[in-house]
Amino acid sequence: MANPFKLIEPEDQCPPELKNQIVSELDSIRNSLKVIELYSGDFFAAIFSILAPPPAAE
Amino acid sequence: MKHLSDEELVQLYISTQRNSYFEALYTRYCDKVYRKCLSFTKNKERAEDFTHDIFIRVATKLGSFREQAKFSTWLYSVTYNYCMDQLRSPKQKEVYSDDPYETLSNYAEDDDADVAEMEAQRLNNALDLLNPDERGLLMMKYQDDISIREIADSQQLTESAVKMRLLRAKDKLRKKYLETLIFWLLVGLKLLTSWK
Repeated sequence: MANPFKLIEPEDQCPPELKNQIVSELDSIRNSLKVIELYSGDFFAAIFSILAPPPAAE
Repeated sequence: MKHLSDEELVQLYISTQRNSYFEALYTRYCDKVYRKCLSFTKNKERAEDFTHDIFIRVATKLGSFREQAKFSTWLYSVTYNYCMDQLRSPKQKEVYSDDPYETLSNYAEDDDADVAEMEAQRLNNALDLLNPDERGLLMMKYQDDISIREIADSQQLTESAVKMRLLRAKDKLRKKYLETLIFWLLVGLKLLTSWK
């Protein structure tokens, strides 16, 4: 006998425009992470190197 | 890309971060996920929102996919968890949060014969009368054939707790199913007697 749970699944299809929305949102998440990475890495490294005392002259 | 398995696509997406691999996975499963969301919400706009959030969550969590289960099983678990979380009422969260007596394990696969005998449309009506957790568990087990072990992993429960909850959900489903059956029988009888 057929499993009735398999028969009750809807047959609707996912709206096609959803794919572009998801992909563009993933792109913006990835870009935001890159900006954070740049700031937390290179930007602060540059600040620290500016603020660091100059090496003592011999 | 058709020759690549789901798991290979996941690995390629993680290592390259190229959208084309994720898009291939999306194309394979978007309808399936959307339909599951629609089964829960009964509303197309809400199902679309749920599907959007689930795929964003999946893309950001792909690194935690361990390949102990198939990708499809993992994806369906994420889908069910999301739908159950969104639709669960605050009161129900309290009831389900902790039940120390859920260790009894008298669930038997043989009991599933009565489920197979149910009529699809009435079963759908009876499922609507269950809460999202009960509906989700039954759909994982009987619609997607996810094993008890995998359900337990995805729900962060023990196997015996899953068996116990399945048993309870099935009892409740059976009761609601019979109630709807009796209701329509009574309506039919009433119509017959009034017609005479």
